[in-house]
Amino acid sequence: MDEQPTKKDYEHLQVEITKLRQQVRDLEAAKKEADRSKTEYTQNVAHQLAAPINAIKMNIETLENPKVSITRKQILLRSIYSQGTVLAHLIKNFSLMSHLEADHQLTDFREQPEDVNLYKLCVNFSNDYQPVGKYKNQDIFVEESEYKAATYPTVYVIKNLFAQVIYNLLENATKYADSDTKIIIGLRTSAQMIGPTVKSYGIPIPKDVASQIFDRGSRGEGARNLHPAGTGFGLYIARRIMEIHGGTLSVETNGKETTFIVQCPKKKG
Amino acid sequence: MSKEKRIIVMKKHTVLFADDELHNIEALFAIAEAEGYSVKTCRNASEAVKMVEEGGVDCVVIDIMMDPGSNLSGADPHYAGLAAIDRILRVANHPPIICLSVISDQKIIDSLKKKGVLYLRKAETSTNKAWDLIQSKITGVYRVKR
Repeated sequence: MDEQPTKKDYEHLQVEITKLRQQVRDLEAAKKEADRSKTEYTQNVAHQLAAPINAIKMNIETLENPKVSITRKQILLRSIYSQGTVLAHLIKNFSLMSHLEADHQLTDFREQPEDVNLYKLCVNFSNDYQPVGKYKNQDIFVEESEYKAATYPTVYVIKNLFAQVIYNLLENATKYADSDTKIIIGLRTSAQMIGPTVKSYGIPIPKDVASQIFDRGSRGEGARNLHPAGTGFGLYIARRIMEIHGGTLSVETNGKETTFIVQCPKKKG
Repeated sequence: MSKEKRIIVMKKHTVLFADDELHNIEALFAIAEAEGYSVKTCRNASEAVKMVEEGGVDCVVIDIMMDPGSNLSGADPHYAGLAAIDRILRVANHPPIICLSVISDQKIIDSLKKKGVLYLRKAETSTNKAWDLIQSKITGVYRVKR
């Protein structure tokens, strides 16, 4: 014979229902928050991509204007080139995200690691980013003496991926460094590791948040204020790329001076 | 009767472009300059307000999403341009304002219209059309050229 539920059973059931209702509310709130951050992310990505495309489109349209001087048209052409550079690297960041999120290893990438001359690579990047820096009269240069002292070292990396690290650091530097400052690409070496450094002067990164700036989607308060639109992916991607190379990416801050340090393992033998 | 010589000195109008990314306004800058306008630029909302308060600005073209700057430091950077617009509207004999942004929030756009601010959406408005509209705000005449 079935037992009839007691008052205690009903009370217990009531407690369970209340718990479940709370869980449903929590899940609804979590879903709402996830939807909100997804929308914000999509808007940010759209804004990030739309800005350079729009600038390129406007500049091309203006090149047809016969009243605009040749000097100004040259400036517009340089701007088209620099916005193209920004766009290419942004798109690469988005396409890299899925590989890096999936915990891919070096061997999972189509390209293979190769010996890359750090000095040549850094000079190329510095030249590529020079027009972007010109908007704020920033001078990007490579500290050749440091590379010369280390006899122009090479690192064993996937060139395209490693390039994205430097691009992201230069993009950050040009964006957040003050106008009329120098962005210096140096070299740091130790017994086991070697790699470029990117030093700039601008928005201070408080020491207590310095480690968080490499988190996915993280953007410091100063960065958010200066440029509200941004995905917060650049440094995260750069660090992940260095991790899969067995290297590191760290930051040193001293007031307005910020130095990002890229370190790759030295080749053995 | 001797012929009277009259020299008419045309006032050179000044346009202020306020945008945190100067490459966004490079094209309009070039056209304004080619049309004989004087051009000023600034990168944050506080600076835009200050430059209008100082006078000599005949038209403001301003973005919404930008650095608030020191005098509007409480403003949300996503909408700092709106805070600047409200401050500029309080300036006596303020110049006409054109908002050039990517936002699509109709409530914000309607509210700007109510305040007499012309809203132009980046990428949707062609450079030439945008310039014609900016010029019409300054001169009060909209010329159909194209």
